[in-house]
Amino acid sequence: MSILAIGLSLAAMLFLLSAGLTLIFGMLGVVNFAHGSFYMLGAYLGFQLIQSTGSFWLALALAPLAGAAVGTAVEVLLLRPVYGREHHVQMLLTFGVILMLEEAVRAVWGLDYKEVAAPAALAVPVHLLGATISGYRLFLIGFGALAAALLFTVLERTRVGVIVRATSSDPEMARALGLDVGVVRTGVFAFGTGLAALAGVVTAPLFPVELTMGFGVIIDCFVVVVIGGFGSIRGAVVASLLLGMVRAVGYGVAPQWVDLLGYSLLILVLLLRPRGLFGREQRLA
Amino acid sequence: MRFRTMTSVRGRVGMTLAAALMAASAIGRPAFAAEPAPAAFRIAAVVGLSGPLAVIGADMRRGVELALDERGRSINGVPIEITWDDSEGKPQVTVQKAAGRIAGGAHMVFGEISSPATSALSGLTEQRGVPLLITFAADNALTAPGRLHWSFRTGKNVDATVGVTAGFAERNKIRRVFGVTPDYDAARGSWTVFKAMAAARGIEIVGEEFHPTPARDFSITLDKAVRSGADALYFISQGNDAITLLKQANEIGLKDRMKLLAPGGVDESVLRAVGAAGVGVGSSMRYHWSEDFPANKDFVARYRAKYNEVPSANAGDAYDGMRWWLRVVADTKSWDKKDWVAAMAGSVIEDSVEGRKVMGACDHQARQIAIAGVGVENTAPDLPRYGMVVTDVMQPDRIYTPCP
Amino acid sequence: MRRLPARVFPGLSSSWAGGLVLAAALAGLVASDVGSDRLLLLNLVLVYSIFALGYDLAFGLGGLLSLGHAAMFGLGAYVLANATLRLGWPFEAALLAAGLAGMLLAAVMGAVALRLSGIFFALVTLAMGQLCAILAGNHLRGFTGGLDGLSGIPRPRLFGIDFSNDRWFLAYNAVVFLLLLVAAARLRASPFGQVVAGIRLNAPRIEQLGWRANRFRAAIFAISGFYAGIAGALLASLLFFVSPQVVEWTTSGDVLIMTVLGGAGTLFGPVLGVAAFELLKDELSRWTDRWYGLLGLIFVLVTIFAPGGIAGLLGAPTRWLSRRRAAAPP
Repeated sequence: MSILAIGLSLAAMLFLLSAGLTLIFGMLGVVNFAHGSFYMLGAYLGFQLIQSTGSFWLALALAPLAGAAVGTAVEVLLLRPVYGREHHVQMLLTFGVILMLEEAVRAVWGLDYKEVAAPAALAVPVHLLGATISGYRLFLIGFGALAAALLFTVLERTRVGVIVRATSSDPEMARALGLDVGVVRTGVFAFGTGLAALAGVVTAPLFPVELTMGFGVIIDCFVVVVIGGFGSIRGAVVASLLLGMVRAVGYGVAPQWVDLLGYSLLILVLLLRPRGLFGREQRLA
Repeated sequence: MRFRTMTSVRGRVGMTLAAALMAASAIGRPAFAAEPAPAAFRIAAVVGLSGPLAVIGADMRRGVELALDERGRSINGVPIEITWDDSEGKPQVTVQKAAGRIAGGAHMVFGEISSPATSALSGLTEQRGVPLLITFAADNALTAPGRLHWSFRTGKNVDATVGVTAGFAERNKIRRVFGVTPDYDAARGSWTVFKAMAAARGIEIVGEEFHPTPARDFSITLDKAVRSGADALYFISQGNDAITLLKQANEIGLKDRMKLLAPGGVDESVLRAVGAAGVGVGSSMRYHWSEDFPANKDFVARYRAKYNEVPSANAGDAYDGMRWWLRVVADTKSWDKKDWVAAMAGSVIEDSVEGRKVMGACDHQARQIAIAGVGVENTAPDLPRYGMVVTDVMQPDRIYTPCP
Repeated sequence: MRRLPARVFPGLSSSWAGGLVLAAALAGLVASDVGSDRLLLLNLVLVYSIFALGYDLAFGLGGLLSLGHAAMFGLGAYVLANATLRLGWPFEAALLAAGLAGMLLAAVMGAVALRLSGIFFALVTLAMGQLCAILAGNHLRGFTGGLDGLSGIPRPRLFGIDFSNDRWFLAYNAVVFLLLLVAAARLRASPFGQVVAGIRLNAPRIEQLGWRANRFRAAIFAISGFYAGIAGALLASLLFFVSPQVVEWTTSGDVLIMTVLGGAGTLFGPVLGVAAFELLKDELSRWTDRWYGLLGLIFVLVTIFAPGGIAGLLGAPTRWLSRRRAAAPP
């Protein structure tokens, strides 16, 4: 039972981390290696907002907005010139963004660890069917599920979602129909980076907040995004669940093999079904 | 992109083989019987100054700089030049930067933080015949008897840190321990040392978990600990891993069920990262500002005057080591590195910040007291909000076997 | 198949002139009075240049974006370390073994990865590289020494010279580098190289002409693995040390950056990129604490404004001249 609960919480964290990347990757075709940096930025922004306002919930609401603002700036100034160029060009650019963001965060907040604690109301152990799990993790599971539901609804059932999907699958046609493709792209990128920042804030109570924290998660994100399929929220949910449960079981049984299993799974999916479980045909290759 | 987090910090068998090549460090330098005085005494300091170990490196730097200031930044009339290189917490970079400095004429090397990096560094310095001063890394094997000729450790080794922690456990009536160890050799070695000491004290090991490092999640492990009925969780995890563990232990209120104990994973930087979650956690320390020795009071006063805060364990440790070493070098009145090494082996300092320390001639490990304490919340305005207090002191004769 | 001259800078047509200049420069550096601390940097530049030369064969010439080259690089380093430390092999034999090991690993990786293309190829090489990194750190401790790595790796001993001296080792590396540079140049100019380039530009056409594209890709990938293995081995000897850190994806990212920075697809581009990258890091960190961010800014600017890298920038005047000449009335 505890394995289930822990697996679900790991899945929730993975989903929140990867949702932004799958959108950017799927909708914009951009390989955003700087995703981990926006995650890190979100955690630091969250720390700052908690310090300044005293409220975790306020930080949770505002940090993603700040993250999205930074994302907008990056997209307009740096990413636009390289749209449509080869992938390695975008990779190099996003590497540069990683360095610049890290330097900026270091300049503002310094080198040491930052303390971010869960709100007191949630930081209580909950005993559920023989397992001890924290209230905060249960909150994370709920939060993740809610985020997934909202994202899915917006993308599949609203007009905004239709516009985004149309623009990504056929920008020429979309432009011909009068949509401002540039604005839509900026919006998607900003949204994706805002999501990354949100993940940073919401998981900060559980992990060390320091400058290199993005590097630990970026590979995880790619694993989920590839297995689930670029651009698919449903895919990200399923892949997160898969990876989360594999990890939860793995850590209990054979911790040395968990990472190997994760990468092997990734390779297998790439070989057998490169577009992932739910991905669409992409003109990425 | 050299920023992978290195969280391994303590102990590992140094794999340098006994027959080390001692190559000449520069071409064209004739071998004088007595070395002439150089234009400057060059210290090559290589520590992590960026990445997660950065705070430790920054504190070591402060400590060392204060030791240099104390000497008027000169030694036997020759000015001291120290270079600080950032290893980014990576052994590969450590070796690279140190090699460059040695090639540029460094007279000694200071570093590192993680045991792999320190082990790699000592491999290099043995090759190049340059003294290495180790203050932080604690792995026993770095100073196993007869291993290294050019390196000295003035800081504590695993026997000391684990020993005092075992003593702390006994004094706090801990009977059943659940162990969490990162999965690399030095940490496993440290765990084996603890198990032996625990057995000698009648403490039972009710579970052990080994986790890859960096570790992402401890919830499964912590759940197992709860189920095991242990009265203490002993974790060797360091740095980022220690912070993750403490944060996640805190979210299930583990502290209320069992004591949290570490042979040194908890220091000021970790406490700052976890805040209230660190209160009550027991750990051995490499140094504490409150230790009651005249040289320490002096040091703390000067440190506070310069930096406006009390010295952390890493600062004090580094200060003490550099002070001792420079004093020994100055007393030889020689510029031949071999004389320094000969003088340091077996050297005794009576007025270190922790009292009397004796450098073992056989293994180059300083014999000294070991201390342990718990995390507390400070109310005094001039102290950091979360820090440690010393609760246990262990004398060297209970830790070290004397050199033959 | 007509032999086409190898393109070194876009605009220059002789690789020999460039090669001779380089050889002369290297000889000058070895003999000169350059400070010993710079010697290490120069050695690093040579070693990484070998890595980048090979990487560009796969990436610039072959169009294969690999993010897993760190695996071959690391394997070369570990093979040399084990062969010299544990088996007592002479250095040159170990060096060759390192290259061959890299080639073999690249052949295996290529066999799996070349079922895919584009970004998927890149991702699967990334995953395989990560697998190797985990194996190196955790599961193959007997071979790699685990997270602590292996130290005490020797320098070559040849004709009685002990290459522990960095200046001598620079000469040694220079010789190896020049040999591999010439090999790369001839490879690019050869019919094989032309087919590979053709596959990058228009694979279906090449297939129609009767060549199996994937066979050539696999071959060039394996060759780039050889270079990576040699480079890894030389690095291990240079630093007397190797750790699993060399196998991480950041090392693969580094070689990609250096290659693109210098100018992918050209002979000397990657070398320029390595030199620029290492020198930049070294110099910038002396001037300012904020060198990280500055380096990032440079990457960004190069990507946006100088997509051909340094080689592209250097070749610009020549291209401009030849355009003018072409546009001028006869």
